[in-house]
Amino acid sequence: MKSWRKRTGIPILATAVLLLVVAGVFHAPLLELRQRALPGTEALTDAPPVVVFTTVVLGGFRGVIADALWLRASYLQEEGRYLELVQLADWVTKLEPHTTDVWAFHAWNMAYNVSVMMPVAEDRWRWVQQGIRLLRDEGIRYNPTDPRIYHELGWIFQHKLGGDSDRLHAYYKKQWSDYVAERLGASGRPNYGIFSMEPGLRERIRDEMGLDVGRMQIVDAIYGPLDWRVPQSHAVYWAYRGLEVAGPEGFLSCSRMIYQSMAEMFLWGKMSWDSQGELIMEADKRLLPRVFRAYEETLSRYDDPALDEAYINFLAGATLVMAQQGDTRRSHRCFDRLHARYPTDRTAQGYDAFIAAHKEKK
Amino acid sequence: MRNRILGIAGLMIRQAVRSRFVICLFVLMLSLLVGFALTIKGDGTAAGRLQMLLSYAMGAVGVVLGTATLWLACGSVSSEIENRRLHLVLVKPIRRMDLWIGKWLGIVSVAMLMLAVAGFFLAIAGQVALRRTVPDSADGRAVRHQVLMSRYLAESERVKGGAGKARWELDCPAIVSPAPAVATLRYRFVSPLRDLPPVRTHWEVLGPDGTCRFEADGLANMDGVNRLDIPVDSLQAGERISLTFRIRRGEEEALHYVTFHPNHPVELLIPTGGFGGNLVRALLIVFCRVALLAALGVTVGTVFTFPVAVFVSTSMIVATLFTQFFVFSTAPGRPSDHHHHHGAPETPAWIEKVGEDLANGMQFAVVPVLHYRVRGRLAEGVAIPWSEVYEAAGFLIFVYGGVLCALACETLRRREIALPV
Repeated sequence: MKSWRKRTGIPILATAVLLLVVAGVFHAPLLELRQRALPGTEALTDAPPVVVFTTVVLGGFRGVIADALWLRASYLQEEGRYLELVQLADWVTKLEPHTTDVWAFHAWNMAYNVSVMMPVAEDRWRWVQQGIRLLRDEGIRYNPTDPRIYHELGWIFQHKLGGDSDRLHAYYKKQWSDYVAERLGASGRPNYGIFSMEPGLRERIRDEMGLDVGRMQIVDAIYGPLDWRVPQSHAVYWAYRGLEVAGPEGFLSCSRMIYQSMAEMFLWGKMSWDSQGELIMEADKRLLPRVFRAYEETLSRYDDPALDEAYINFLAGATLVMAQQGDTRRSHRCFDRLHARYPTDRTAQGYDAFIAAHKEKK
Repeated sequence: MRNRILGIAGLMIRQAVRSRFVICLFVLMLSLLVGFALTIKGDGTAAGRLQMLLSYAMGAVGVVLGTATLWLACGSVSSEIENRRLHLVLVKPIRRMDLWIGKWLGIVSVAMLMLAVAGFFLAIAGQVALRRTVPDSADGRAVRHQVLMSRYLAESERVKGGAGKARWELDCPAIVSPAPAVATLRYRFVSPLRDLPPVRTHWEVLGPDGTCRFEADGLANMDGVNRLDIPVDSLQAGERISLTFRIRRGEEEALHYVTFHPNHPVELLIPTGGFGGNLVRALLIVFCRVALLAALGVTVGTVFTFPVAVFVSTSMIVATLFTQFFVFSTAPGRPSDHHHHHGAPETPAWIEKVGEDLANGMQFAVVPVLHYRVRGRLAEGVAIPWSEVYEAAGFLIFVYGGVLCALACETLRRREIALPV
């Protein structure tokens, strides 16, 4: 007489195989259905095994583990123990790879909160870079269709590196400028012809700076000539990428980032260092027409009165700054555009009266 | 008696090997250690990566080994009662205590072997990290002087410092190692705002007679941890030294005072020895904790069947870990919310009294078990003294282990082993 195990073994095996086949048949339509219903959540095809394991095996428990790790990160940060933060950020983001806010928070935390706790400039710069790398090398990989992640990355370039809110912003600018110059040439202006001739250069730029040469060329053609050593150029690039994935409805934050960065580059985007190593920032006047374009493109795309305010402020400011710098031709161009688009009693009195009124006010 | 205990221990080890427990644990631990070594990220520096590896690996070894040991220990007696193998042993002239000690000894021998493997791996990892850095680079120095090192953590005591000066006193350890040539002073300020400009500082190290042995000017960040290297030749073993601090005022400075962080005292890390010794001491303390878990498992296994023993001992560990929160929230002297209200108290006094007594009792019983933490110190290159190892062995193995052994012997004596199960 056959044992119970032998008698039941074959039917159980056959049932298992049958169920597997049925599951396989339903798999493809289910994936398609999910892609249609929830765009941007399709399964990762080239994710590392750790991510596949955590996202599939842990299921809903991922959130609990991510919370626990997040609590630990907060506790360590309060205690001033920053060493583990990169590791914890890596794990938390891998547990929730499709949640853009998680990536944005950890990158911002490292680039802004942790970096300023470092007494040495080199250490600070390392933490700012950790924030950039987290978004650029990993966050975008897992969320390529979310414009917010491009905006967050662009913000670190525009504000942390490009702005002056950090006491050591000049150091960051120098480090970034040297880093880019080493890869794109001392002028920060890439010779796009070389990329097709020199094998591996295109890949090097992609791997080390996250930039796609083809898109760089497009951004340069629309908003350039850009000096890629200037952090705001990268803000423009990442915002442009954000708009690309946002599609026809656009993404106001990215558009805003483009015109703000362009305006900043126009007003003080020409960087140089004197013999004592002090940073000198001057106006990059070549960019004026491109700044007009960036503002006007945004105005035509979105219906937001705040955008008109921003443009008025830029035109009035640029008129005065150019006049102060003795560039009356550009100053006049800005004023004429201001009067043509937004005529007021102040502008109706003419260019000289506008400048005089400002001097008087000052 | 010794032969009987060693015989039972030998049988226990053989059982662990035969059941593939040893090989499974070995593979699991090695894959964990290798996995950490390959995947771990630090703060972007070699020293940071090594610190992370040491900290995580020690933590993982403690958890995995502790869990596995508890599992093995729970089954050591309970499964023998269940399959009636113990009947054959107990009819021989073997005391209950011999049985308990023999089982415990066999289990902790396996744990000791695993810890030795982990220690060997971590020592190798330290050497690999050291060889990968350029010796004279900042990273190389950090690996050598901040991680692969044993440094005595001298906590300072604030004393009156005079006008415009802050002063601390601290004791140097009995041994001061001449290499590396520097001790590290760590201090933090309380900063009302982020990213304020650094302050110009002046530090002095004074001997017991008040003579200045070392002084240094520098810049200190208002945020984060500041460090200052102090030559070790300005410190002598066993003496009490003073540290004084004042702000150097410049014309452009706006800040004329700083507040030292109340929760992070000024500390001096004085080199006392190498990494190897510190690693051995850290592993010995981990061993003491694992030995306590083994004792707990064997004892609970004498009372319950295997699954129940695992459940009960795990619950006890979880309760122990949560005791900290309970003790903290009900600790005497900690103001509870209702003390702020006027009128009649919300909780009757007797409940509060019982709660406080319970908290005190739990604190007395449990807190020493949780007291010995080593992984953070090992990773930061902070010395783990031998006195702490002896203390841990005394408390965790002899006091707690002894109590558990007595409980188990009494249970075995009273329990009717031959009852049908």
